[in-house]
Amino acid sequence: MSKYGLLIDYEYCTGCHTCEVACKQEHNLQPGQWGIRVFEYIQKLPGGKLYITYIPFPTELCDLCQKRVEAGLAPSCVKHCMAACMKFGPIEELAKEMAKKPRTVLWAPK
Amino acid sequence: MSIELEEGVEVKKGACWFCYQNCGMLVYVKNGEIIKIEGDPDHPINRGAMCPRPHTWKEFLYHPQRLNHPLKRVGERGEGKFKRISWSEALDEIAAKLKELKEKYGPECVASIGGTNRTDDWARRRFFNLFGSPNICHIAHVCWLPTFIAETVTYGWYAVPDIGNSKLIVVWGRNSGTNNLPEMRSILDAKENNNAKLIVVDPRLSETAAKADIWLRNRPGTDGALALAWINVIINEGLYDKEYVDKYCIGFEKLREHIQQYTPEWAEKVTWIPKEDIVETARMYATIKPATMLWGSKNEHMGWGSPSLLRARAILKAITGNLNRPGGNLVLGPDTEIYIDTDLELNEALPPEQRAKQLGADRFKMMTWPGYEVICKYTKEFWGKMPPAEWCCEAHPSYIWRAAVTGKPYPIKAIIVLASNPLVAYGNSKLVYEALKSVELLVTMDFWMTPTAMLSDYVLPAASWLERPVATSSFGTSCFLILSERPIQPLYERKTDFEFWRELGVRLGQEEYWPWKTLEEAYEYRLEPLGLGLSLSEFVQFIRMHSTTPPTTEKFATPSGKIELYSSILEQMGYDPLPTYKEPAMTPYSNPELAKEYPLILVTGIKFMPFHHSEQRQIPVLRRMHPDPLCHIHPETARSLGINDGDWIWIETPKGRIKQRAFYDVSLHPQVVCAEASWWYPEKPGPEPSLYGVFESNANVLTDDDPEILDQVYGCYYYTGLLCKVYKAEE
Ligand code: SF4
Ligand code: SF4
Repeated sequence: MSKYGLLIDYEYCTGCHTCEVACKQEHNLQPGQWGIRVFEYIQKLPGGKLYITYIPFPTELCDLCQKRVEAGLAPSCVKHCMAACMKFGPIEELAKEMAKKPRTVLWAPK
Repeated sequence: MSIELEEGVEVKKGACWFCYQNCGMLVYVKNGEIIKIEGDPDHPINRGAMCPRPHTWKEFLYHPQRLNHPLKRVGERGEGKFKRISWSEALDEIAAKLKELKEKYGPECVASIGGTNRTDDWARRRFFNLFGSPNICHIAHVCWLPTFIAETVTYGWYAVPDIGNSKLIVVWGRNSGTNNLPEMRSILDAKENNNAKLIVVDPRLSETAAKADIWLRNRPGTDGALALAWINVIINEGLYDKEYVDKYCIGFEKLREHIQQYTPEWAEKVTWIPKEDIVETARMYATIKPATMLWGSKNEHMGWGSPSLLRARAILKAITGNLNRPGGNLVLGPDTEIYIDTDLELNEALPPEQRAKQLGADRFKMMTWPGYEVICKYTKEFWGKMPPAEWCCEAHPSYIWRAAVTGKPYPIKAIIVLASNPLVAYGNSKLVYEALKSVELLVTMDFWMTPTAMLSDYVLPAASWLERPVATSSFGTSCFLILSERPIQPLYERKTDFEFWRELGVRLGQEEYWPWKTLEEAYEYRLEPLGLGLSLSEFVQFIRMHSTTPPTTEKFATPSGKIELYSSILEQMGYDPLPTYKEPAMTPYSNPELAKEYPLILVTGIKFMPFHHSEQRQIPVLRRMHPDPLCHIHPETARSLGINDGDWIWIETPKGRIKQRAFYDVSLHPQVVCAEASWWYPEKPGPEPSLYGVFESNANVLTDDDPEILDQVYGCYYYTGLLCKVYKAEE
């Protein structure tokens, strides 16, 4: 069976923090624990334009919502992302998607 | 096994109301209890997604601080001593007091303050029209309605952005990335699918501006100057749509003459945006077709600066031919196939002599009875429907507070507050406080004990969207109605606002006007004209959003039937028929003396995730994400004042001072600071003087609502582009 992962489109992440809460509530995580975090980085690009990158990053606690997936649902963050900027699937398929959509990162858990 | 298939689980089609979006939700219910909620993949608004707020539905539904029973004050007002009473006692006593006050002072002595479009406002208006008071309002004057009216006088209704088909999107006075996430997704879709360009006008690099191709950073409060300069460039460079203007618009020559003064050079001085950028973006807006412009309520926060901006934006849509063009802005009108809010308001029941008493109607004519009657005449002729009086015809809150405190022009003796926390929502918090303290009867219906509830004589428990059906459209004006069913029966003794108004009305002799016993019955009545004969639950299985088919029309609901660039309605009402820039009352240019003591320019009202307005501070998961109020400040400015990132600082205006934490933001102009809106602290003591810390960090302690400094046409407040100073606070 192929391994699964997440394809995260950080060009379109808007930093709404939905994924963080969707994950936390689904897994009933304690304060201070997160399955995914959204980081924000602001810098001046050559030419002077200020640019903010929002990047959701899954942590050690992400299990790709195994229980949900078994029940036929998408992982909680993928399903609920308000910007629809995450995809779940077999890594090979996501890699093909990645070739079509730049500014994405592909992530897999252990 | 998927959860739907478990035995005894029902899936209810609910709709989240933790903000006004009303995203569709699938609510899984077993034995009358909610076990899970997922975004509804088939819902047109959220398409399966679900933002942080509804993920915390369980904490919200069962929170130990939720109001569950009617309470009556037993101690001094604000002392925090209440006793539990029954609904019938509460309603009997409130009804008796209203009757007594009505006999003594006239029905106009009773006022009501509403929330943010998440109640059945038509029911409130129905009650008050029958009762006889014109003095009810929301925070409509800072929330899109002035835009709606400005566009209605120009082309007969609001023009809805068609983001999906657009090639250029202009977001102005708005941060979709925190305030309207489904809309933000549509913007991103248009970028991806149509290669649409995005222009964002904002003093700060917001979540939305972060995605912009061009971000225009303006001096707060001067957006009108930018809009007028765009018109100047577009007309003088001949970039306007001549054919469209000739065919549909009137007043173009007068406009051309009028805007000659608003050159890009002039606008650069006013807005602090380089003139090259002004010219470039004006050209883009006129030439990249189709282009759409979104609504933005910040545009209504500029006092004197607002009216010209609202009208100029409407004019821009028209002269570029983007109006009624797919991918532009569409004048779709109301939903003409069902009973809209207006049809249920019973406005004809309010006699002319009571209309004439509406507070603020002598000054802010366009959002009170005088202007509303004129607008209704033309919209009724054209669409067969009128905009709702709720939101479009409201007493001005600044007048209500003053009447309560001074008794002039006549006394306000009772205030009923519903789904609102006026102590944080309205400018000049301290005056609001005085007003709430001075009335004889204060009733609040809410989910929580808020600072306003703490001052009330009766506090009534409200049912949330998890416990009630919902039918809503954009402030009762849109061509659609979003419908959902009741997931579970209300817990404890929580009730809907509809039930409250109905039961109060029945006690005051209005029984014959309240034929519907439940909200479901009322909503089914609204759908009757469709002739489908379905129950609400049956209906929402097929249709979550009823939309009317918009008429294809060559005419507009204005006196001339044309797009009135030169507005005959504004002229008739004694206002400027063309947009003329006016610098807001308290800026370094309009009040240089004051600027010596208060050198910084302040934006109040920043919105931020994961909260909506003043809500959700009680939900631990959400609060931990954003525990303290933040004031954005440029690091250079902060350092020069000895302020480190994260320090508590005082923000001070002539009205007062508040504490927030400094948040270094390199995107700001060094002279600009932006304070977050709507802060109070549910974890702090409720009784006075604390009132849940409502005066500590609440940005409306800093704002003034003196009617003189507000916009005189609609009554827009002045929340952005004020003068302030900041300095370090002790921890
Ligand atoms: S939910 Fe989506 S848009 Fe929101 S922060 Fe997470 S990845 Fe970004
Ligand atoms: S945006 Fe969030 S809070 Fe608002 S209705 Fe949608 S899910 Fe609810």
